[in-house]
Amino acid sequence: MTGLTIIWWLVPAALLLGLGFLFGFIWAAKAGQYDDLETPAVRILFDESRIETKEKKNGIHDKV
Amino acid sequence: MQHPTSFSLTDCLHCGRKLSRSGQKQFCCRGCETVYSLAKHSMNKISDSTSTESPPTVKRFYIEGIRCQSCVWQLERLSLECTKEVASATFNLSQSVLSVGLRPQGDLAVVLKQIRDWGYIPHLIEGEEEARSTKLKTERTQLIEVGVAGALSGNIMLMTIPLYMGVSGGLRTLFEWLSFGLAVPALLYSGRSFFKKVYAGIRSRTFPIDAPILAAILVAFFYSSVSLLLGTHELYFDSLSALIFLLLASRYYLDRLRSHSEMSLGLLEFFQAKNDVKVGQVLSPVLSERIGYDAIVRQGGIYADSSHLTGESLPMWIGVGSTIYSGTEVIETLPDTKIEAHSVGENTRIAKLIKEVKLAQDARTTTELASDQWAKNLLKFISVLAGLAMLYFIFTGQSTEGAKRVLALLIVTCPCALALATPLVFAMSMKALLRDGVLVKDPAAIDGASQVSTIFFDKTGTLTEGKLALRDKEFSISQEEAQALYSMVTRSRHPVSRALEGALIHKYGNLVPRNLEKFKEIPGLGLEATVECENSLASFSLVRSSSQASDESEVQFYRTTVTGDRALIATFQFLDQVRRDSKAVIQALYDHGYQVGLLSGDRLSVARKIAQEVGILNVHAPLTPEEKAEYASSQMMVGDGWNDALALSKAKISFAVQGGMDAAVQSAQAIALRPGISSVLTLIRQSSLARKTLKQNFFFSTVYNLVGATLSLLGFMNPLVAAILMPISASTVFLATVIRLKKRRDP
Repeated sequence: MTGLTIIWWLVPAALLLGLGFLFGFIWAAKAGQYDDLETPAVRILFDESRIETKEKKNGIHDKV
Repeated sequence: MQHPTSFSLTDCLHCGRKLSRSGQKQFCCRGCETVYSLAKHSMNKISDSTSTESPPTVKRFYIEGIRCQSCVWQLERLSLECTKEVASATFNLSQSVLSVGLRPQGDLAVVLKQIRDWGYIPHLIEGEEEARSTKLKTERTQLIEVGVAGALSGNIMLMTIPLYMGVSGGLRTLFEWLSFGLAVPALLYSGRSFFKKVYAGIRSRTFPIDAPILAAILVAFFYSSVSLLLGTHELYFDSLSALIFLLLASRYYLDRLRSHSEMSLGLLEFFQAKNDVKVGQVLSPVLSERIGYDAIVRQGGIYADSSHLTGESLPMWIGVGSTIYSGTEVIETLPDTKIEAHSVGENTRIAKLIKEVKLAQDARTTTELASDQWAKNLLKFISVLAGLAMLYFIFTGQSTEGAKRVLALLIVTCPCALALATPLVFAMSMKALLRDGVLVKDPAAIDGASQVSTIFFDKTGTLTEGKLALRDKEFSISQEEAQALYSMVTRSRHPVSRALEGALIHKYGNLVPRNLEKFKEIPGLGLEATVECENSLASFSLVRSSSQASDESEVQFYRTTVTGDRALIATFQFLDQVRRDSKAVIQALYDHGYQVGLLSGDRLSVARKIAQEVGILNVHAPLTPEEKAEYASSQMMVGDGWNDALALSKAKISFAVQGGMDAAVQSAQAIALRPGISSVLTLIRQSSLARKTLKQNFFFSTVYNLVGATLSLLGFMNPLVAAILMPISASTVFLATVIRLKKRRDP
């Protein structure tokens, strides 16, 4: 039994870790990171991305 | 209509192209006029509702003509190109939607001009920003539900593995209670959409397809909970949470692909021109005016373009006593023409047509997929069977054993396989079609395209290119004469003149119009003018051939010498060319056993000739838009124009070809993204494949359910075995679907 006591610590720790990632996912979904999965992958290839980002910061977001 | 930007009065207000004739008012073409009027319309809305300091308004456009990934870069440069108007531009590649943050003082027309200059066709998407953000929020919530269900079911699996491996004592209790604790939010949070759907179904007195799924999930949950309390160790928390996750995930996937269909293009205000014309008022039409009311010609006559109603390629003669409909464009008029308005506003024919199109579109959303109907019937059968079995066991006094068997029955026949595979079939088909150049807005098009018996095609713009082209591109006239001819045709709005202008530029490069003297456009006959040619003045005339066949237009170009003799320089023949792939596609459709018909608003002789050329046996012409709709209902309609919109929205399956007008694009369930009509074949092929897959899935499920139901009622199956078999059957159907749809690659 003594060999298994570590499990009493590991199980809650694993659950907490999972919970942390779950909240990370919920935050990302709410921030709209999953709204468009195709375009950002293309956008990163463009040279002028820095200007674009700056422009967008001043502009609007699809924040709900 | 003065304009705030730097357009001069001789430029088209929308695209800035030079206007060639004084008769042309503000626009070079109808496209520009449409977009400009839409833009103006929405601009007014904006300026009404916002002050100068307010944040940018988001306008969304469906962009036609996206070719590659560089288009994203190009379109998002909009904020750098039009800094005064645009605060931000974000393009969504998967939906082809550009979101533009428009500054309050920005002019939408300038933005549209820029997008058009780059070679894209923007369609303004209607709809309130609020409705859209609500939808976006719902989508995000759905995704979170899926994610939570996935995380929970994954963790429950981890807890369950030691249980299966036979862990005992305190750890066993810990894992059992933890899996229970994780299953509760999976059921109550992620699974809440099942509760909602079943509740809504019961309220509207329809049989909700989710009812048996919910029943199976609830039964599994309560059975496991009771067994947890009693310590009998029969827990299915892992199966039920995995089931919730898989169902939600497949539905979310389909919903996301479907979001195209909620696009509502802004288009309908255009024809309902706002004007203060009263019924009975007598007016004189102005050249290139777009009539905004229905009227009767009382005196004189008009050559008018009413292609929005007829689809006819050439201007029509509207004589005394005939009706000119709202939306018609005046090309030429006789002097002293008088028309009397007889219906205005909502009573015009086009307004009624728009209303009917809208009604038909609303009605369509209720159509049910055939596959859903099969599933429902199967589910009804199972429910009745379970009820009868329970009654039997109660009357024979075996209620405890009976309850156990009925439980097994409900779990084993849970329609998760169908519920999972059906959305998958549609989603995968939509993806495959998108790759092959067909955008499907409504999955019903995939369900039914192979089931219709007749496919009706529109003529102008669908089977044909939709514009006049010179039949023989090799004509020989001197550079100077070409110059003279060019100067004349740029002054005329007649389609033949437009086509000739294009042909001349194509052959001689950039030509500059010269000054014309004594320019005259004779309605229905031709043009004449005196132009400087070879350093002296010469008279030229462009005349419609007197001996012309009724189905094509032929014009002759003459030069009149000083002595008064007319010398023929050249003869031009124009026709609306049949698309290159039309004939092959029609032949293929006949080969597949479909009937093919041609519905045209054009003259019968023209329709017959085109039909003959592409090999269609069944011709109906001339038809009004309403008559077209009558033919097309319960069949498949392929069209492109305004006059097809009603037929498209009433047809069982509707398809709009690439480059179609907004009304057609909006009314159709599927849109071609590539020129030509071969996409119709693509859709039909995918449809019959999807249909076969659906049938195969349904057959699997039925056999599996019948065997499972028999075994469980006879008591050979306990709930545990059923719970293990359930995911196996689901994954069988799932894999069969994926393999079947992936396998096929037609050359």
